[in-house]
Amino acid sequence: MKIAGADETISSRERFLEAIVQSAIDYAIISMDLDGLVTSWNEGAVKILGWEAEDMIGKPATVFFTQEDRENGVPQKEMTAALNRGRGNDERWHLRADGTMFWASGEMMALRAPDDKTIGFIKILRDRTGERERAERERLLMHELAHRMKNTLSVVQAIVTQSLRNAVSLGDATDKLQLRIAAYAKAHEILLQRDWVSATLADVVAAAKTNIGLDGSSRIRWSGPEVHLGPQAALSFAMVFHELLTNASKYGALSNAKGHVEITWGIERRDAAETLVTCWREIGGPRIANSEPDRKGFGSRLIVSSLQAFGEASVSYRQEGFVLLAEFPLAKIQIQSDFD
Amino acid sequence: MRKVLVVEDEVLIRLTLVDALHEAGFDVVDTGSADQAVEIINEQTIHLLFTDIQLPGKLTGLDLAQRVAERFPEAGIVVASGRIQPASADLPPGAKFFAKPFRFDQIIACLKEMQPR
Repeated sequence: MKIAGADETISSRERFLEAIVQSAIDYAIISMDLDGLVTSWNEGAVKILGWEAEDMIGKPATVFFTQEDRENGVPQKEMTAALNRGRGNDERWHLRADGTMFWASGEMMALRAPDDKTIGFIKILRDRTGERERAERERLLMHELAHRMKNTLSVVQAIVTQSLRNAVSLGDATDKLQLRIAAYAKAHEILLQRDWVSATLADVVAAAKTNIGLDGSSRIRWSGPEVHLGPQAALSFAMVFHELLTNASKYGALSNAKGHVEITWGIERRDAAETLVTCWREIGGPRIANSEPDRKGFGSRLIVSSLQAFGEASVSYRQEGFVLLAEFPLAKIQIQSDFD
Repeated sequence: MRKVLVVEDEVLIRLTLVDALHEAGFDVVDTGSADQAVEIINEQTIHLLFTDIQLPGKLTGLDLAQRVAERFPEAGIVVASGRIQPASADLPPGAKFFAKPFRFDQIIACLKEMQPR
C-alpha cells in the first residue's frame, strides 16, 4: 500500500496492519487528509476504482465521485458527517478510472490520532453493482408478476361473468367456466415453456384440441409452416381456437360422427408485409340451413373480435360447413410486449 | 340514450363490459385502441368514456381521456389499469380511476352516477 509521507521507520506492528489492509482486496480502503487529499490507497482501491496508488496519492478523492455528486457537494457532506457524527454513509454511484460507473456501498469515518485529534478521514467501500442489479431485476420481476396476475384475474373475471350470463344451467356454466379457464391456463403454460417470448401456432391449436378432450382424434387436421406468436396473440388465439372447437362440437363438423375440421395456414406477402393467412374449414358436419344461424353467442363474438384485434377476419356459414378466413400481419402477431 | 365509448384491448374484458352496459341501458361503441377511439370521437358524439390506460398504438388511455375531455367537456370519464396508478393531475377533472381487476357492476354504477359536468 502506498502511504504519503511514510519515510520514517515503520514498526513491525504497522507492517502487520498494512498487510491486513492490503489483503482486503474486495474493499477499497482510502485515507485522506483534512483537505480530502488521498494519503493512502490500498490494492482493493486499485482493483475496484482502477487508479494506481501512485496516480492518486496527493490528489483529491473527489475524482471518483460523479460530476453531479461533485456539483452537489456530496464529498464535502460525507466529510462533514464523518466529523460531526463519526461516520458518513456512502451508498451511491461512483466512477472508475475508465469512466464506467459502479454502485458503491461504504462509509467514511474520521481518522483520529492517539490524542483524539482528527487528522483526516478513512473511506471504506465495496463494489455492490451486482447486488444492486439483482435487486433491481427482482423488483422489476415482482412488478411484472403483479401486473400479469392482475391482468389474468381480470380476464378470468370476464370469463366467469360471461359464462354465468350465457349459461342455460348451473352445469352448463360449470362446464363453460372450467374449459375456458383451462384453455387460458394451457396458453400460459405454452408461453412459460418458452420464457414468455412466443408460442407456435401449432402448439396453440394442439393445446386447444387437448383441452376440449379431442387429443388423439384425427378429426382435427392442420398444416402450415412454423409460425411464432407473441404472448398477446398466443393468449388470444388460444381462446379463439377453444371457442371454435366448442362451436364445432356443439353445432358443426364435430357434432356428428363423420365430420372433421381442417386448419391451414401459410405466409404470404400482402402490401409488402409478411402476412399469416389462415383458414378454418368445417367439413362433413350437418348442413347449415341458415347463412346467419344462431351461432352468434359470446363465443362467436369473441372469435371475430379477438382476431380483428390483430388483422382481418371473416366468417361464412356455408351449407357444407362453417368457414373462417383471417389474415394477420406477422409483425402484429409477433409483438413481444403487452399493453394491459 | 347516453352513449358510452369503451376502449379496452383485452377482448374478453371489453365484450363483457359492453354486454353489461347494454344490459344497463347504455348505447355502446367499442374499440381496442386509442387511435381508433380518436377516429370515433371525431365522427360521433359520446357522453361517457371508459378506457384502459395501456393500449396498442401511439396514444395511451390517458391521452385519449384528455382528448375526450377537450372535445366533450361534459363527458364522464372512467380510466382503468392493472399496471399504472395515474396521478390525479394526469386525469381530466372529474375523471375516476379503477384498478384492475375491477367489478363490472362498479363501473356501471360509476358511469350511471356521472352527470354532465
